[in-house]
Order: sequence, then structure tokens, then C-alpha cells
Amino acid sequence: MRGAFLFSVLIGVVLAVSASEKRVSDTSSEELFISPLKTGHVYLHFKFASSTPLKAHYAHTDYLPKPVVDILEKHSVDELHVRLTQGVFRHSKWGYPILSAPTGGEVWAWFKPDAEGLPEKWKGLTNSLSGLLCATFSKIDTANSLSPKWNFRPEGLVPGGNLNSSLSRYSMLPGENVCTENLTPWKKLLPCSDRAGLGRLLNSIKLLSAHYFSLSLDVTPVCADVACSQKRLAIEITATAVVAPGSLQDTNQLNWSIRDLLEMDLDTGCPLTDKSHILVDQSSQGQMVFWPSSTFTLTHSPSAKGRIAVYDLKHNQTWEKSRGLGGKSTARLEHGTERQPIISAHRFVAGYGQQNGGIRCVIENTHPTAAITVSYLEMLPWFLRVYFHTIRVKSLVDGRPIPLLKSHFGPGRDRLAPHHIEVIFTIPAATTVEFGVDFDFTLLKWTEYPPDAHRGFDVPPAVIGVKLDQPGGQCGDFIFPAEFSQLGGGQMRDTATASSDGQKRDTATASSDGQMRDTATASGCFLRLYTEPLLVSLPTPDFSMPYNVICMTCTVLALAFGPIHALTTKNFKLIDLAENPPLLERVKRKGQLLLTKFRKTPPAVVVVAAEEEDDQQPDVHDEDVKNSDSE
Amino acid sequence: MGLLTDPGRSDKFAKLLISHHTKLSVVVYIVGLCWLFALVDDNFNLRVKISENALLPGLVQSGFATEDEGFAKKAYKTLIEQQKNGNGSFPADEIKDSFRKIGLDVYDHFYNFQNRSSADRTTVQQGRNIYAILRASRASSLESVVFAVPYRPASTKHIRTEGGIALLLALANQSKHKHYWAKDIIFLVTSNEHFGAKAWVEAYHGVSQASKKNFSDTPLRGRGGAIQAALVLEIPGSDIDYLDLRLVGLNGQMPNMDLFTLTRSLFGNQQIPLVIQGNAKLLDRYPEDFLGKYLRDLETAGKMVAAAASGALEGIHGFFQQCNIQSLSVRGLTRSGTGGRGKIGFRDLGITLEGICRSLNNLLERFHQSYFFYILPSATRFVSIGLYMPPLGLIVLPVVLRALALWAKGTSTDEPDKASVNSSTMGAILPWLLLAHGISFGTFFGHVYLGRDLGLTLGVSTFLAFSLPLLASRFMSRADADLLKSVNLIEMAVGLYALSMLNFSLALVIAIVSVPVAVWATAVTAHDSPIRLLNALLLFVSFPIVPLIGRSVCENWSDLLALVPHWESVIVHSLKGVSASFVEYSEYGNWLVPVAFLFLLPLWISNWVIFWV
Repeated sequence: MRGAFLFSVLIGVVLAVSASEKRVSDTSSEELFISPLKTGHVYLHFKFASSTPLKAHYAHTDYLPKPVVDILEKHSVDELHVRLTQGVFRHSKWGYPILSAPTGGEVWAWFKPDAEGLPEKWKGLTNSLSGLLCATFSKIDTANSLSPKWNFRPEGLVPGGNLNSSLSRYSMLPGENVCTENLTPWKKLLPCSDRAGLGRLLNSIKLLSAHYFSLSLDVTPVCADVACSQKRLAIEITATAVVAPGSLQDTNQLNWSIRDLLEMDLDTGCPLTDKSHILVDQSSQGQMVFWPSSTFTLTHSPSAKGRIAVYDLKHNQTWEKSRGLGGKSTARLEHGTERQPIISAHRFVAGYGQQNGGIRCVIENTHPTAAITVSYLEMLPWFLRVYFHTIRVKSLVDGRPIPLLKSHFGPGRDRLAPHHIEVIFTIPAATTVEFGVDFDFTLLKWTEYPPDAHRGFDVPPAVIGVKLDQPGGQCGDFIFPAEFSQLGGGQMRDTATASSDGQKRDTATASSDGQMRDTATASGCFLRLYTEPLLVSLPTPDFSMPYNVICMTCTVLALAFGPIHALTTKNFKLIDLAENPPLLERVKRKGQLLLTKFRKTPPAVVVVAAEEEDDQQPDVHDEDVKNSDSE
Repeated sequence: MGLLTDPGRSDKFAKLLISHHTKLSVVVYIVGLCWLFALVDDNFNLRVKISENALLPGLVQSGFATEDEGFAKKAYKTLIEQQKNGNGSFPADEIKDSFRKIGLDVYDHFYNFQNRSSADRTTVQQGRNIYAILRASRASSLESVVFAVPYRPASTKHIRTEGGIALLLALANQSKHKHYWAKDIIFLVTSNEHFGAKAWVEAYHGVSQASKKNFSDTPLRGRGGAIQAALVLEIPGSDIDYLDLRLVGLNGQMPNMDLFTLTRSLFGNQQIPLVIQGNAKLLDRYPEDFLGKYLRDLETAGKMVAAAASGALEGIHGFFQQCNIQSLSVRGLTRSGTGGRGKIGFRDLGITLEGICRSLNNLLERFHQSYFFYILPSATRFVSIGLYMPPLGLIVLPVVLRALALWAKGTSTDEPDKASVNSSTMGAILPWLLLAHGISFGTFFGHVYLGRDLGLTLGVSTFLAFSLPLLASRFMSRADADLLKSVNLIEMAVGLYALSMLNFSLALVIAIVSVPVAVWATAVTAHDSPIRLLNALLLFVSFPIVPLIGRSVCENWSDLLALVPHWESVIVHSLKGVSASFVEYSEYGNWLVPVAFLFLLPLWISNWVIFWV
């Protein structure tokens, strides 16, 4: 978590000095964090970080991906966060990840205060990202983006000092599928690409068949030291995966190795990076044997149970050819002993049928004594007609309503803006609360339905921001010692002290008084959770219906046309029936005539027939006049 | 199109109708009936097919191996033992533990309910459902498939289901590490028959039952997104002879035909004998002769229509269907002769269920192709809604004809002098209509919502209905009676056509019986004609409560015979059928009672009144 870096100031100074000695002004580092989970899965977190002095214009970068820097510059972006994720991170089983991400795609940017034409800039930014990462970020428009009030605040420096949320844009694409076509361009942003160092381990086939896989790109302006004498632009590129080793299926035991998980062998680090480390969470050392032994280990200070082995790829770390890096549990897996996270959420669609429905989000606070304040963001697509008066938060323990400390409701507009619900409330200790809102479904225009209309429509996940009172400023279940950032980071993060010059770093804090509070306090950490995305089924027309309607309409029109045309175009006049007998009568008469003539002189037939044809035209008129007479 | 522009002809048409409608009615009714019965024959219906391409049944290689069968057998044995040790109580903790050991996310669902049809109807009982979710590895819990088993104690009078639970465990164990799942799989074990299943399905959809008296439950803590399909397993054990597919849900609701076809074809691939709606004759050799074949198909279709018309619950799949989830029940049965040692074991069933799950997993969209309204005369043929609606239209047509004829006669201007004497207005008949409907609605709502005793409300309404003619003979003229007849028949026709859209089978059964009665009863007969007596009898028998009583009489025939000397208890016993129907309505919304009391009873009361004018 970001919190991991909050106390890295001192060491950062040292690093900054060492970096300045080199000719290149950029720093770069890579690290892989591995944690075997109690469910038998292995959590992998690759982080590639680099930074460069903050400038108005970058003619050249050493390690930072130039395309990214160019995009930032072109679209006046101060801070940018992009996530592409496949699957859901199961907090109740795996704990909290180092970096949370919603299913599908997410883009979140903070623009420069002097940026003009923000909508166009935002459109341009998402289109550029779309090209950069081969994702459908180009689908982002005003209809699925908003400016969050409290949940998303700048994570780095705000050079202009303007914290107005109207400068931010946020969007989620829940239907986005992440595949090799995203991973390949993403790998190209790394200093050594996938040719050397940890980048080599990024095996597409293995990573993309993981239970959870997330790519991210974070660009933040940061301070290089306490006094903030130097400002830097930091880029962090991470990949997170939760993979199941093959042994899980065969023996119900956790037996993993890098070779087994990624089908790749370890190498020395990327030569362009300053640091290259592999960190293995050995907290479960009692139940697991790890190999090889590390150069040194870190112990998590507050709880003292955490233990992380550090392997430095830059310092001639050697790997046994046959075994590489790995671990083996000594006992069989015991399911259901996973830890209970302090705060967990579960969201679902309420109701059935295609007329109306609702969304419910159950948030549970398992902390026995502490009440937790959360800020909840819901971005609902415009095609759900949300009834804002139905928004309620109630305790599921005693059914009492939970008061909203702050709330923001932005009604959606058809095809233009999503519904924006952002509320802050406090969950009492050991209580489960339910957020609920009701809506009606709408019929879309018939060309707006996707080809697979019956699959349903994606509703993006809800975002829950929590400030936890954890010692050491850490929320993650992965023990990530403070000292660790000196190894992994290469760049500095600004801290609360940076606010001395008025450049304050804020994160979404759910404070009751509505005042933004810095997260970088000694005892707090900010945790962001994403719920599962949802599928709602809108009323879908039978698409063969237009055909039926056309057939039906044509038939009715054809049937009605004849008489109406006849009535409106005919000339009505009075005719004496004795002179002009009705058609039937005349045919009968003619028939008789014909019959008599036929018996006498056969050649006369032709003449009579010709006469009859001549008579046809007035006959019709006669008929009609007769009808109107009888009326 | 002359009719549109020439009002003179409609008069002619009215005259034609008045003079010929009786003949026409008889012809139309008979043609409709013949047409309907012809539909059962293969020449007039269609062959079942899979419309949804994504299902791709039977294309995957099965992974359910001998060791999985062993797992199922072991689970079955353990379950039976647990059942014995626990004195027949639901071994929920043990089942939960088994799922947890496999590595699934296991959740509880507790609920309290009141069983109004049991002996201790006032005590609030506690129930519990167990469900386990197999999370699809790369998916984000957007969609899911449910396999459900209603747990039944060893003393149950229904089919036992321990085999089904063992199969669930084996399936979960077999498929837990597979990477190809795109949808979560929910393994559900419900208890207390429909109480548990209904509670779970409604809790899953967050539908509040809080308003319901004496019901409460805990919220579900885990879900798997939108449920695409649900398969209910009622498998007693590993040695069964054949399977019985139950499709009909509540109020004649049916699952999408693709789900049925998928299930049928995969069981067929595994050579498992299959019947539908419990017609065991389907197991015999296919009859060679036309008549034998026809009668067999007719029986199967008849059973399906009967099941749909009764609206009663055939299995817990009905609740899934109510929530727009395609669902059916699979029952494992043994033939009476084999002594419970059937040839079909867990392996065959496991392979098929795995296949069904894989096919459902392939679904890209929820079931929307194929048919939702159909009747199956055999496992391979079906009659679609487009085929069976026209005959029903014809069968109900006599009511419309008679109504129009009566209306035309009442408003006819042929004999102006006579018309002034005979004419009536809507105002004159309105009180009668209100009375008839008032009595019926009072009976229904008095019992259902005000909680008045059923015997009391029925008694009062019957007394009122039967005494109404006394009033009518003094205040109603013949012309009023004719108009009332006409309005009555129009109401009936509209009601039947509307009902046929919701529950075709119920509309059909009512139409076949009540159309001749209604048309006959409204025929003008002289006061002293012998036909009149027959008419009275017919009307009396068609009193809507009679079939409800008849149902309980048929079901408890032997009990009633024993009770014959004590006539009071016979009446109480007969009324049980009516009371049971009311309970079915309030517990899971069977429409039979509302249809009888809110639609048929007012019609009958009006007819009864007209008869004595």
C-alpha cells in the first residue's frame, strides 16, 4: 500500500543523493513481492517504479516511458491512475491487496488547474490511453465518468495547490476483459521490457489464467525530501496476480516455486534499474519451508510476527538450478481458517423481473470495539432510473437507520451523465449495515442494445474508502514493513510535512466534519475497497418484432386502402335501377341471352362477349350508387 | 372490407348471428376440441430442438471419473450415518463442513417460519439452508448456476434426497480446480420443503418478506450474481432405475425449453431412461400401433396440463422460475419390480450433471431463445403456444357468440313495440353484478386478509348465493336477465382469454367444462321444461367450490369412506381441500383459489340468479 512509503523520508534523502551522483537523473527499481496465501494460492505483486525531476516539458526521459510522459504533458494531467483487472479480489479469503482495483478498467486523472477544456482533455486522454494499452478506454465519455467528491483525492503533490474536485475525472469500465493484448503493450513500458530482470517473469499464459490479475499504471508528482526541495515525477507500473499452483489440485498442499507458477527461471535483475529485489512473505514460516535462504530478512515491527525474506538480484543472488525460489507447506491445507477482514462488503441486485430493482450493498465492520467511518461511492449508469429518495443506510443488526454524515447526489442524464451517489457514514463496532437504493429499468433505443442484449448490462463496482486506525499506517494484510520502501522505492513520496509550503497531499478521508484530513498521520491508513460488479437485465425487446410489426401494418394498410381509396375517389351519381339493373341481374340476363344465342347461332358469342367487356366500367359505379341508395 | 363502410350489413350479420349462433357454437366447440386433441399427434406438432447455439451439449469430455463416484458413495454413506446419529434432524453442520473441506465458500441462511398446514400451526419453527459457492477462477461473480437439493428427513413421504446431496459434494470436489468455469456454481441444500427454498430464493434477490407474519430470516452473506439456471436434484441414492423430469412450476409456469432439451439430450447420451411428469409408461417399448401411441402421448400431455392447471408446487424449482430463473427438477425413481437395485449409479448421474453444468457455463446470454410456453406429449415432441392457442380460442368462442347474440337481440330494432317492453339498461343490472361480485370478493378477502374462519365465510357466502334468487324473482325482469346473461358471458370470455395467457392449462380445463355449462344455462327454456331440471343440476354441480372439495375427496378417498357414518367429520374432511388451496395461495401464491373465488364464483352466482328469473 501507499502507506508503506510514508515513513521513508530519511532513507529517501540518502537515495536522492546517491541518484544525483549518477549522470542520469532518472531512478528506477523493480521488485516482486510474493506471499503464499492460506487458501493455497500465491499472491504475486510486481512493481516497477521510476522517477524523474518534475519539469514542465520533457524532451527526454531515461527510464520513464516516454509515451506516458507525452500523454500527460499533452493533456495537462498532474496525476494519473489506470487499472486493468480480470476477476475479483476476494477480501474475505485473501485479505486486502497492496493495490486495490475494480474488475475491468478504471481511469482516474487529476488535471492541472490551468487546463482548459477539461471534457476534451479527458476525452483525448482516454483515447490516448486506449491506444497505449490496447484497452477500450475510448468508450469513456461523459455518460460513464464523474468527478468524485471525497473518494478520490490526489495521492501525490498538487503543484498548483488547487484541490477542487472538478479538476478530477474518474471512470470505470466494468465490462472490460483483460488479455495478452493489454499485457504486451504494458510490458513495453518497463525499462527492460520483458527481456531482462523481473519483467522476464511476466509469462502471459500463466498470469492470464490466474484467479485474479490486475495491471496498473500510476503517475504522481512527489517530493524528493522532507523540505520538498526537489519535486519528481514518479511512475509506478505494477502487475498483481493470485495464482493457484498445480500442487493444489493434486495434493491439497501448497507447494510452489517461481518455475511452477510462471514457468520461467530467475535471472539477475534488469541492468538499467538501481535496485532489483524479490521479497517473500515468510510470516507462515511455521507451516512452510522456504528456499533458498535469503541474504537478509525484515521483521515487521509492530506485530513482530511478520517476516519478509529479501533476495537482492543485483548482488549476485544465486539460484539452485533445479529448485529456484519456492516454498512448501508442511501440513495439508485447512480451508475456512482464513482471516476475517476488518471491513468487507458484498453488493447485489435486489429484485427480479424487468420493471424495477435495486442495489444493496452490505458492509460489515468486524472490529470489536471501533466504529469505522466509510465513504461510499456509487456510479450507476443513466439507464437505471434511480430514485434518490430511496437511498437509505440501515443497520442489519437492529434495523435502525444510520445517519449520513455527508452526502452528494448527482442525478444522471440520459446518455450524458451517470448517477453519482457519494455518502459518508459511520458503521458502529461489530455491525453490519446495508446501503440500498431502488431504481426502475428503462427501455433503450433499439439501436443502443448491444448484440448480446440478453446477457445483461454491467454496473460498475461501488468504491468504499475507509480510514483505518492501524498501527504503522498500514491497511494491507500483506505485511509490508516501513523499512521496505527504502529497498523497493527509489523515489520519495511526499508526506504530511510537505504541506509546509501549501502543497498538500490529500486522500479521500471520511471525516465527519467534511474537512479533508491528511492520511499521513501516525496512526491511520487509507484503504480503498471495490465491491463486485453487477449485471442487470434491462427489458429487452424481441428483435424480430419490427419485422412482425411491418408485416402487420402493411396488411392492415393494404386492406384499408382499397375501400378508402374507392370512397374518396369515386364519383357518386343517381341512377335509375330500372334502366341500369344491378350487376348480378345483368349477368344473369346476359347469361340467359348467351345461352339462347349459343343454341341458335354459335358465331354471335364473340360479339356479345365484347359488348360485355365494354359494359364493365360503368358497372362498378352502378353498384356503389345502389349501395348508397339503400343507405 | 364492406363491413367497415357499410353499417347496413352489420344488421344483417346480427340477424344471422341470432338465428344461427347455436348451431355455430356447437360446431365451433367441437372443432376446437378435435383440433386440440389432434395436436397430440406427431403430424400436428413439432420435434424438440435446441435453439441456443451456445449450449453445445455433449461436446466436452467428461471429467467425472471412478474416484469421483467413490467420493459420492462415501459422502452418501456418511450422510446416512449422520442422519441416524442426529435422530433425523438436518445434519447442516456436517454438510457445511464437507463443503468447507472441499474448499468452497460456505454460507448459512437461517429463517423462522410458521407451517399453517401442519398440526401445530401456531408454533414458529426454525429452519436453515446451507449453500456453497464455487467461485469461477477468472470471472467476477457476475453470473451463476444453481444445483439445489431439498433435504428431507428419513421419515419423509416424498422421495429421499441424500443421493442428491452426495452428488453435489462429488461435483463440487470434482470441479473445484477447473479453470474453465465462467460462472460461479452454487450448491444449495434447503430444508423444510418449500419454506426453505422460497426463503432462500427470495433472500437471494433481496425481496423482503418482512411484511409477512411470523417470518424472519438472516441476510445472505455471499452471492454469485445473476442466476442463469437452476437444477433441482431429488435423487434417493445410487441405485435408481430411471429419472423423472418435472418441468411445471407454480401456476403452470414452465422453464425455457432449451433447458429441458439440454437435460433430456444429456441424460439420453448417458443412456439413462427418462420420463416426463411421472408418466412411467414412457419407459415401455414404443407402441407400434397408432392408437396405443396416441393414447400414450395424450396421457403424457394430459398429465402436464393437469399439473399446470392445479398450479400446485411439484418441486422447489417453482420458486426459481418465479424469479425468472430457468429451472426444473430431476427425480430419481426405482421401478416397483426391481426392489430398489437400479442400474444407474452416481457415475452416470455425475457425468450428466457435469455435462449440463458445462453447457450452462457456455451460455453467453440468459435463456431467451426457444419456447417458454409449450406442452410436451412425449420427450421428443412439443406443442408450442402458437399451435395450442387457436383451438382454445375456438372452444371459448361459443361464449362470445352467445353473448353477442343476446346483446343483438336486446338492442335489435326489428320490432320497435316489443323492444320498448323488453329493453333493459346497464343501470338495472348493475346492482346484481355488484352483489354477485361482492359476495365472492367478501368470501375471499374475508378469509385471506381478515383471517375469518373458512367454514364461516364459505357458509355465509353459500347461504347468500343460494338465497339471492328469492330477491331476484321479485326485482328482476326477463329483459334484465337477458342483459345480465350477456354481460356475464362477456366477462367470462374476457376472463378466460386473459387467463389463457397466464396459465393456459387452467384456462383450458375451465373452458372445456364451463363453456357448455354457461352456454347451456343461458339458453332460454320454458319454466316447466324437463331440461330445466337438468339445467339446475348442471349449475349446482358447477358451483366453483365443488371441484376444490372434489380434489380433497379424490385425494383422501379411503379416509372419507371410513368416516362415512359420522357425516360432520366427512364435511370437515372435504373442506380440507378448500382450506389446503387457501393455504397454498397464502404460502406460495397458487392462483387456483383466487381464480375460483374472484372469477368463477361471481359468474356462477349471476347465472344462478338468472336461472330463477
